[in-house]
Amino acid sequence: MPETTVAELVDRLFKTHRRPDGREYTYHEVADALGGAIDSTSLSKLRSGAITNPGRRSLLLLCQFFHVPASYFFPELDVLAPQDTTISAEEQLHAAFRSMGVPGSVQEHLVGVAKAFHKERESTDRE
Amino acid sequence: MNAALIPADVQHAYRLIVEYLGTSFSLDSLLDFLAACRGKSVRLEEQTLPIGITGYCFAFQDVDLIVVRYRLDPVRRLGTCLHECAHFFLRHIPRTSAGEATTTFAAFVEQHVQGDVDRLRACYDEPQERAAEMLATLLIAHVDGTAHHIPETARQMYGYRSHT
Repeated sequence: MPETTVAELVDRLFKTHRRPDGREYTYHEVADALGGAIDSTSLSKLRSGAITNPGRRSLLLLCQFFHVPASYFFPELDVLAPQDTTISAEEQLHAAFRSMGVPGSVQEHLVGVAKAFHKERESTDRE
Repeated sequence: MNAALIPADVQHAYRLIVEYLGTSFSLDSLLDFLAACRGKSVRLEEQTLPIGITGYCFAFQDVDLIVVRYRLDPVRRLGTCLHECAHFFLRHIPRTSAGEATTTFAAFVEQHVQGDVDRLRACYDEPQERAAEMLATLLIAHVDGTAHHIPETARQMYGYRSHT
């Protein structure tokens, strides 16, 4: 299978990450938002494939502008990208108890009580 | 610091950061790199915080917030900032701190949704705190301009070594 080129990745960014009104960002808008760190001509060349080996910095700036993780261009950075996991109810309870200075063993006990209470209420609701 | 004692994920994150930013970089460059890695803006703020807390971080829908205590001395401010960055780099913080209930940063500012932040502020496990501190310690010597500002006691505290 042919490897995706940088130009294709950049093109996809412009096509899929649009302005709130649905229009694609112009090269000038992106360049302006990045404080001129990349100029509009370079962006155009990057998207068309005229620049095939841009510096890391340019691509990282595009990630910042389009709000996509850097692993989009650099797969090895996936280990630094945020995970979608959220904190479970049990972890939130532990967090709340920890912030109140409740000792670990007592936390376990209280979380156990809360879980038992929740289970009891679920079965009552079903009845 | 004995490399054998440093967890693999800390070593890996450290290597990638130095590979991408070089051996000497500014705090701003590190924050930009963090923003790029997470695909979100990073906001660094100073706030008055309760005793015992020098900083915390929170992932809003659109912004990753790093807060450090107001008027910390420069070395501790940098150390705290790097520690909070490390939590993000080491993926201790998910994309959003409170899942679907997470607000945008603007909504937080408007509504003063302090509850969520208070609740999650102390939620990291001890091993995560140690890992974040290790990565912060490894990074601090790479941040531009720190060498002139770090007093001897702080050098010892952070195990500072010069990369020049």
